[in-house]
This record gives sequence, structure tokens and C-alpha cells, in this order.
Amino acid sequence: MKCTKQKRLSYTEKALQIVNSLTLEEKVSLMSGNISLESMLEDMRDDPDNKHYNYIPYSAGGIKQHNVPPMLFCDGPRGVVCGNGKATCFPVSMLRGATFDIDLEERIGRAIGKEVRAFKGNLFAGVCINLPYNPGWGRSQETYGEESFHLGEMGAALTRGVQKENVIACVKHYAFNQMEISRFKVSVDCDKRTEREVFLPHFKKCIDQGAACVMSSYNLYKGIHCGHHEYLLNRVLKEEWDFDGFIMSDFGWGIRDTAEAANGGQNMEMCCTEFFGEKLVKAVKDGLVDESKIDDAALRIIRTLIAFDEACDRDYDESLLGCREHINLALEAARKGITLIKNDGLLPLDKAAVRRIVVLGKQGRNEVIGDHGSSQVRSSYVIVPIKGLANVSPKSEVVYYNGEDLDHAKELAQSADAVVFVVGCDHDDEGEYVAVEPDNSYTGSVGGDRQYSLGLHQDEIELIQTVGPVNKNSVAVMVGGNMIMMEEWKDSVNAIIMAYYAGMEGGTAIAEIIYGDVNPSGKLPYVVPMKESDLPQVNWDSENQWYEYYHGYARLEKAGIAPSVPYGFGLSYTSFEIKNAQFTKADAAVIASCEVTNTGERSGDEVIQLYVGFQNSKVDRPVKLLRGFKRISLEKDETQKVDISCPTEELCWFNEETGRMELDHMEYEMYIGTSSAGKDLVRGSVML
Amino acid sequence: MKTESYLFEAIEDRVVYPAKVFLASIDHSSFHWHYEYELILVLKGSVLVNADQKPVVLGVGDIFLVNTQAIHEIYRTEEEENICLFIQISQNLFNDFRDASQIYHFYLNSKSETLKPKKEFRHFIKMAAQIGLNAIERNENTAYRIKGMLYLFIADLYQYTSYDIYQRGSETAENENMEILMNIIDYIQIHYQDENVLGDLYKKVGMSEKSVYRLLKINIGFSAKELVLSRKLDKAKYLLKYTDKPINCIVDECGFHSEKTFYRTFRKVLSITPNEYRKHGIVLKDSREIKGYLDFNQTEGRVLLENIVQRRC
Repeated sequence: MKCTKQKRLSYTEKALQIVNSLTLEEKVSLMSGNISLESMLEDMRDDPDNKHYNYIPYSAGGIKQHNVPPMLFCDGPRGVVCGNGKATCFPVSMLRGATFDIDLEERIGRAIGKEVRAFKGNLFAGVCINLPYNPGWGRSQETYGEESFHLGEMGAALTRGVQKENVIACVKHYAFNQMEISRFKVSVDCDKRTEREVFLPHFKKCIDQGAACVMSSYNLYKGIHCGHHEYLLNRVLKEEWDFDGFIMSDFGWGIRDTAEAANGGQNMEMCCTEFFGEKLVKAVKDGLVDESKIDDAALRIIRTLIAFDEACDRDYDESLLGCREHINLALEAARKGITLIKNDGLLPLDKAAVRRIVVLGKQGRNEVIGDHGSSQVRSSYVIVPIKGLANVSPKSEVVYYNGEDLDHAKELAQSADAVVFVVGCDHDDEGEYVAVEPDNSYTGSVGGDRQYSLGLHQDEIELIQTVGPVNKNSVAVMVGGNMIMMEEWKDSVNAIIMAYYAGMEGGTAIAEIIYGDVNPSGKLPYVVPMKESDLPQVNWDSENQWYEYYHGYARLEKAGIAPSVPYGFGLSYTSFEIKNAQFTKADAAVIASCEVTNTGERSGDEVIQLYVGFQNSKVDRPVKLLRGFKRISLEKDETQKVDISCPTEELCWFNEETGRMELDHMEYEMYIGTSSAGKDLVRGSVML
Repeated sequence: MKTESYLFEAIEDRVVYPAKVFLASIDHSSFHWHYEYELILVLKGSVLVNADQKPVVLGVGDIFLVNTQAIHEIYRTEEEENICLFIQISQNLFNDFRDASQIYHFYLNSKSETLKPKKEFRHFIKMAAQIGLNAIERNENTAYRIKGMLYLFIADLYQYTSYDIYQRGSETAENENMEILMNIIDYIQIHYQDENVLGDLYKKVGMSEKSVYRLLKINIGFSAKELVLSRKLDKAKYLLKYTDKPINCIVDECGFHSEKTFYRTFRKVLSITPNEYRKHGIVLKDSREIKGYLDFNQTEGRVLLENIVQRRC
């Protein structure tokens, strides 16, 4: 990365000179967006296909005569939302989380960075690392999973990739933003340990890895808007974490008060100028905001922008948009992330034996790439599941029916050699939420959180229960942004695949896995419980929400509740054996190593996972937490040695008395294996 | 598709609009297929339509959509003469705003108790009648109107009927199966009298008995054996009615191996003996044309259409 933090800080002097040459009005002009809400909404109304949200990079600031470039905002994370029919639509972050592939995520970051530049942008606001406290959060698809360590690793990889192409990575939404329909009003509260051990570490990791921008969230934390939050913005982010970049608000409703926001540490109002601009100049003149706050914001903005501007030493032309290389990357991600959850000897299907395959369920023919909110990417094409199946096995007749009439569905299923149910969520079920009525919302869909159920729709459940048993070669493919309950119907099919929202080539990857052209290797980045009540409960439409310390797999493990499917679980068409596990300590790290052998009949990828247990702690701590992972590829019969090391600082807990992260000196349980389930792990220990 | 095939019905009368709309009194139309979607509205009498593997008798006021590339046959029934409105709509019109690699198979059959459309049949019937009336006018104005109405009709099919989608891959040769299927049917139509017609057929198309069985069953609901038999009987019926050939000659000519088999089979299928048939059976032409049309009164057809359109719903 050319534009490291160190490099950026080397521009401090130059930036200060510019700041000192600017008037108050000029400095303030850098601190907010250049477009008007009216023109933005008018564009969306007039030409929703072409002038959609963020169809061109949204600019803020910029002073030509002082050589300060404007910030040019491009949204994500599914790719770059600009343009129409040009960008590459990658699988959503949740699927990329399921790849557990740091290298891949960094390569995706580079591809996205190139496309941001090709759209003439310089900032990518797609490093979304909010932790879904409950999987019903409607925008879970934009983040990587339920585990803070894993979220941080994936977010940091995307950050590095994007910034390697001289594009500013913007990490969002800081912080505690995991409720969609209440996002403008809910105040989240939790204890200090929950804040520091569960909800902030992944943000810190991205900052430590050099992220140059942070977007504050809409919601409130402990009664204060995060966009104004002196504690979160000034004390934690800028002082404790020594963040050198700038902060921007979330769009439209991210700032509610001029002086409170500026004093709270907010640097940039996006994407229009409402509370900053003239009002901020006046607030300074009235003595409500000290000019040093303005100078600090201007310095951060100018330093970051000129550093990235000068680092950008190559041309990025439009031919990069949706280029073959990037589309192949989207396909690679889909192949590696789609997760095989159940397989009673059914998959892969034999193309020659499948003369007719029947696809049932509403999503089978849809472009299942995610919601219609600010992360919607408009690629030149999308391979829908039925098209993927027809392309991958051209000799198998593909017949699709939505499944409404169960008798007809049964008849079709009886006539087929195999049946694929494609079921789950779409943009109306979950996603960015603006208004109750789709007409009043620029997204044109309902979205929001999954308030009523984390399962499939009732008609889909009935479809699978009724038609699944008719044909023993039945596979369910679930689409969605986060965990979908399976208890009611999982026994009615012989195979279950989680496809998430698999991007523009998603249909291809789904079919390749069903027919075995690709050996599945994704791992669930969340736990699937037997009962929804095993998860922390959230009042989705609320002004107040308390977050407990335990969520996800850590919560189930602590309560001794067996999951339906464990965190980190995913099947393969081959088998792997782990031997000679060893656990040691180094200077400031613990190291787990083992030998992994592919004992099956074909090559495949496996994700080796390191969990650390805290049962000897004198304080209340999780049974174990993921603290390292590595994806490996093994040929048939190949053995590879895997080392996973974890810095001891990742093992700390937050001591509220000292106000610091502290390391327990004790014996830690160490686990290495292929999922979080005890049977998939080899156990040992390390004394620290 | 073999060019000499008489089974492929080229519907090319599309000078003014992308559909062929006409009134006809159907005698018979043996198994055939075309790319056009074909809407049948019975105005008088009744007809037997055999598509989707389920023979159905349509009476007055019934509507039936034969899907694109669906193999089907249509017969008059024995009771009374019929008048039907046919609207054959170009497949391209269906693909104007859709992925052309997806073929829609709509369920629109007023005789079916299942998969009923979400709008009442009379809605579709009235639209069809309106299209029919405009087609009789046949001038520039009605051409615009018909094209518009065809679009409305298609929109309602997409929106209100149940359908299956047949998805083709990007690389798939179009209608590979369909071509094989038609070759099989063609072969049987021509060689049904041969002693070893099925054995020769499997050799000629390079497919096993099982594969041919499956292909035919899925697409037309008959096995090759049943198809051969039905052709033999058609031929026998024709010879019985229009010639004085003795029955033992007819038995040979139609490829039956013995008189005993012939009598037994004839009776089993038609519930009547060959001799009785010769005396009382209905008229069937052994036409090599795809369709046998009967004469009918155009004015009567027009009045029937007007009645449908004017009926208050």
C-alpha cells in the first residue's frame, strides 16, 4: 500500500500550510457534500434506472485554487454502485465472509478500488463491518458474519485491497448499527465489556490496518447520536486508536445538530449540506464551536485527500468496469463462499443422469443479488439460478415453476430426475429500509429487518415439506443475507445449500456446486440455532435496545445449547483429516499447528479454524472464540502443514476497573479444526 | 427439422401483424408443432385437443392455449360441426421484453380444474373474441388495434396464469430435443406399416428404446408403440370408409400381423367393430396436409364472436 498511515502523516506539514491559507468559510466548505437533496431526489424520480442513488460519485469539498481535490464518494460493498450496467456485482459481504479467504477479499478490494477510480471516484464506502447482534438485521448481507475477530480480518483485507489502488476505504457504520427499521431513532446501550470486546474490536482492527475514513452511524449510543458522539468519535477513534483520517456522517439523517456534531468530532456532513456550511460558520462565529475543531477537520480531510491523490500514479480507464478479470473474481468468490450445509449422499448430481431437473420456488428465476438499497450494484447481467443450471448442464432440461400450486409442483417433481428448491429472501424481505410504503422510498422495495420470522416464508416451508419427499433427489438452495432457520423442513430434502446473495455469476456457481464442477468450501459465518429464542432478542421497532454480552455461537455455547448447525461449518465433496495438532506460545502470540490431509477422492479447499477457550478465567468469558483461520487447497491424498498464530492481545478482556484490555494469565484451551463443533476440533492448551 | 416434413406447420401469414387470426371448422389436425402460441376458442360445437398429454374436449365458450413448440393434435368430435377461432401468435412477441432463452409454458385451459388463472376465463375469452372480430375487418386501423390487444393478452398471460419456464443454457442448441422428437414422429408417420418399424427407428435416431419412450411420453404422452398403433388405426379407418378393399387386405396394408389382432385392437380402442365402422363411422380424410378444414358459414362465426364481445360480464 502506497498510502499507508505513515505516508499520509508525511503530508501533515503540507496540509497544515493549506489549512492556514484558507478562510473559515473555505475550511467549512470542505466539510460537507456538494449536492442538494432536491436534485438527488429529482434525479431518482426522473430517471430511476440511470440516475439512481450514487450513479455518479457524490462529491464533497474540494478547492481547486488551493489544490485540494474533492472527496468523491462511491458506495458499496457489493461492488461499486455507480453507473448502469457497467460495474462488477460481487457476492455480498456475508458470502465473502463465508469464504474465510483473506487473500480473496483483498483481491476483491483491489478490483473494487480500480472500478471506483474508473468511475472517477476516490473513496469507497463499502467496508461495512457491523456485527449482526441478531441475524434478523436487514442489512446483514453487507457485513461478513457474527464474529468480531472474523469481521475485523475480512474488513481489514478489503481495506488493504481498496487502498492499494489509491482509493480511500471508508469503514462503516460506526457504531452499534445493526437494527434497520429503527436506525434513525434507536439508542443502543450495553456494558463496557460488551462495547470493547464485542462491538468495537473489528473497527479498531481496520483502523490499525490503515483505513483512512470512517462513517458514523445514524443510531444513538447511550442516548447520543453516533454522528455527534464525543466519546466514540473524539476519545475512542481519534485519541485512543490514533485515527489520522476523517469521519463522515451517514447520509441525510446522520447529523441532527450543528454544534453538537462539530464538537463531537464529526468532520464531514454527507451527502448534502444542511447542518454544516453556513450554519457551521455561524456556530463558530457565535462561539458555539471552537475554530480548532474546524482546523482539525480541514487538516484531516486535506491530508487524506492529497495523500491519496498524489499516490494515484496510474490511469484507470472505463475498460476496467465489469471486465472479465473482475467478473471471474466475483465467480471465484461465489464458488468459495456458497456453503453446503447438508448432503445425504445426493450431491453432486451426475449430469448424465439428470435428463430433467425441476426448479421450484419463487427465487429460482430471480436476480438474487441482494437488496435495493444503497448497496445495489447494477451489473451488465446477472445469471439467475435456472440459467446457471441450464448453462452448466446443457443436456439436462431445466423446468421452472414458482411452486404456488402444490399438486402441480408435485407432478413436476415426480417427472424429474432431480428437484431444486430455490427459496429465501429478496429485497422486500430484508435490506435497506427507508419507508413503510415502497412508493415513498427511493429503493422501490420494502426491505427492513426480518421482524416476524428468521425462517423461510410459510408457502416455501409448505412447498418443501409437501414436494420434497416426492423426489428423493431434492436439494434446497437458500438465498438470503444471514441465517435462515431450517428446523421445520430440513428433513424433507436430502441436501441443503446456503447461497447467500451470490453476485452476478451466482447462478453459475450454484449450478457448478450442485453438479460437482466445483467442490463446495464455504463455511457458515454464523450459527444456525434450533430455536430463534436461543439468540438474543431484539425489539426491531424501538427507541431503546440493550445489547447483551453474548450473542451468536458464543451465546449458545455459554448456555450449553446445541446448535442446529455450528458456526464455521460447511461440507465438502472430499474429506479432510487433521493430525499432529500442536499448540505453543511465542513472544506475543499463541500458535496452533497441525497437518491436514485430503483423505477423499478429489481436490478441495478447507478452512482450518483456531478457537481459544477461556474456561479458566476468573471473570465471565465465552467458552471459546474464533481467533484465527486459514483457507487451504489440497489435492487428493495431499498433506499440508498449517500454522495459525494469534496475537495475545486478541485474547484480552476489558477490565472496567482499570479501563484497559487485559490478558488473563492462565491456561487457555486451544482448538484447531474445521468448524466450531467439538467433534470437528482437536483440543490442547497453552499456558500464558 | 426435415424440410420435407409435413408435420411442421409453417405459420407465415404475418403480413400485417405478428399473428394469424382466423375462423375455421376443424376436421382433424394430426400431431404437429409450431413456434407460435396457438389460442383456440370454440364458438360452436366441440373439438378434441390433445396437448400436454391430456386429451380434452372443448365445448362452446371454451378456451385453450397451445404453447409454443408443444406437439398437439386437434380433432372434430363426432357429434356436431364446429366453428373455432384460432389465434396463432408469434413467439417473438412473447420475448419482446423477456429473456429469449426462457420458454414460457402457460396454463390456460377452461376445461381444467387445476392451475386456473387468477383472472376469470371470460376475461381471456372476451379479449380473444375482440381480436377475432378486428381480424375479420382487416384494415390498417385494426392492425394497430390487434397488435395492441395481442400485447394486452400476453401481459395478462404473464400476470394472471400459472406457467412453467423452460430454461435453455447460453450454449444449448435450440430445440435439439424437439428436432429429434419430430424426426421420431415423422418416421412413425411414414413407416408405421413396416414390420420392424420401432427397431429401425431406434437405429435411425441412435437412441435406446428407453430414451425414445421417455422423450415421447414427456412431450406427447404417447409411447412409440401407441403412436404406431394409432397411425395404423387411422389408416384402417380411412380404408374402411373410402375403399371397398376387403378387410384382410386392409389388415396387411396397415401392418397388422393377423386379422385376429386387428379385430381385437380395433374394437378395444374404438369400441366398435371394423364392419360396424364401415357402415356408420364418421368421415375422416387421409389428408397429407396438416389440417383438414371443413366448410362453414363465416357470417355465423362473426355473429358468435359479436355475441361474446357484447355479452355483459
